[in-house]
Amino acid sequence: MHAADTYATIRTALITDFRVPEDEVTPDATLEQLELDSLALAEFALILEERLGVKIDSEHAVRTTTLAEITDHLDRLRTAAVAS
Amino acid sequence: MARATSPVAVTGLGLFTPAGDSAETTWATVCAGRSQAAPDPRLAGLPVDFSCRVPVPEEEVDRRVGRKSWRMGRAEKFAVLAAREAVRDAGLDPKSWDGARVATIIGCGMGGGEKWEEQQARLQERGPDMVSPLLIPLIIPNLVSGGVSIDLGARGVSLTPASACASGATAIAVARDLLAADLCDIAVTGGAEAALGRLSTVGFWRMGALSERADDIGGASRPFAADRDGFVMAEGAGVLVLERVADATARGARPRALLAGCGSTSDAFHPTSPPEGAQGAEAALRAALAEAGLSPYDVDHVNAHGTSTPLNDATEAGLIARVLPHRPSVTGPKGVLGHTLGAAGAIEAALTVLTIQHRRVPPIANLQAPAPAFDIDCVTKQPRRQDVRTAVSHSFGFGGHNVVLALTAWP
Repeated sequence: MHAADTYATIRTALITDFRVPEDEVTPDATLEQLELDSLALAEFALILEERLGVKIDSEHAVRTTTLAEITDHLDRLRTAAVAS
Repeated sequence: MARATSPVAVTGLGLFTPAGDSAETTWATVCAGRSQAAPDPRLAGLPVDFSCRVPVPEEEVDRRVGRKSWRMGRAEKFAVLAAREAVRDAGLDPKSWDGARVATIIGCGMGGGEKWEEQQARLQERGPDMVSPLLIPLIIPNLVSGGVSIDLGARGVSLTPASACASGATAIAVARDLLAADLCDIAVTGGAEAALGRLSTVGFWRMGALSERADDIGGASRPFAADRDGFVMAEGAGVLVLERVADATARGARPRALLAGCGSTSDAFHPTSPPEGAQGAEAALRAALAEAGLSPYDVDHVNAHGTSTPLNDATEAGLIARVLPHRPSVTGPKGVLGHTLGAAGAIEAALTVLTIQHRRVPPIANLQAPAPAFDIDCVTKQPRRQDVRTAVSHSFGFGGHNVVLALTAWP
């Protein structure tokens, strides 16, 4: 239900907060390919928590995770949050 | 007089200051003699709500720094931009140099105060889980040199001297020593500061150091003026590339000027006040000249520390009049730039190099008459043409730190 909105938030964070070039931000890109190290991932998780209201599980955001997978994970959390 | 230490060549300059985003633009604005102080929205509601910020929005700073800007504090970004300019200006290429022999010595007086304050508020209001994981790398002061080292691939010694408002000059003196000791071949050195936080500004205000001229912000910073009432907070960075003269000339570089001597002393007196006779500052001036093999009468020009505080300027003017009684020209760039704290000594060293190169002494902003209370020759209103062969740049910092750099024309 949130997918487009969640992905847009992720995309915006990567482009504006982490200055990843727009053409690199694709659903199948991994965090590692986007040059996000462990420090960056921790900050990325905090930014997404602030903007989406849900906290990413660290095992769902490792270097090999794709943006599509993160979107999917956050969507499930957001749906659960709305349901509860 | 015998020279105690060989001079080193200044082969590159980079500036990122309230007066411009490069050495060239800063120089033009400083020569125009107009204060860059302006209302500061981030200080709104405070007793002092104006400052001198760099004229480049944060977003544009980040764009210029590039992909790693997210993990850098503001002062570190300034240092990186100024260092890139200085290295480019020196005609050096970080892709081909021997990075192990490149030192990065960049001073910083305060560290990332604004970020500290912002995250402190988050901790109080939202709890520890909402504090940024980047907090520490964004606030520790040594990242101004660490960040430049990473950006340039400079793998030699890297450190961030902190001697408050003398930090930038201390860094240059340390870098000169490293070159003289053959501990590096190239030194990327200077100072960077971005400490315009609300708390740090209030701190300087509470100790009575800041100008309160809220009804005349452009006239607030007025070094050596009879009605001066304090300094104006500022931010920025200045970086010089130093090399041994033989190395510079061997690769065909033309030095902009020579760093001929450095004098560093301590007052051993009081944390924030100079002793009345300025013995420590005088010793630093004499030490710099002795190292350069020069006598006081060789000094053509003084780039004064000139903060626009009542006590500092009176003490410094007395020192100049006493040790340099032949009335060399005096300028004080803080009238235009405000006080960039840990960056000031480096920015002013760079401006002194440009003064020598362009044979042009910038005026002191807001000084109408040539310092009526003091027997020194202040340059006012417009730049003065002068063939400056030898100049000294003064920097003094809380803690009783005194650093004087003696710069001479090339050849």
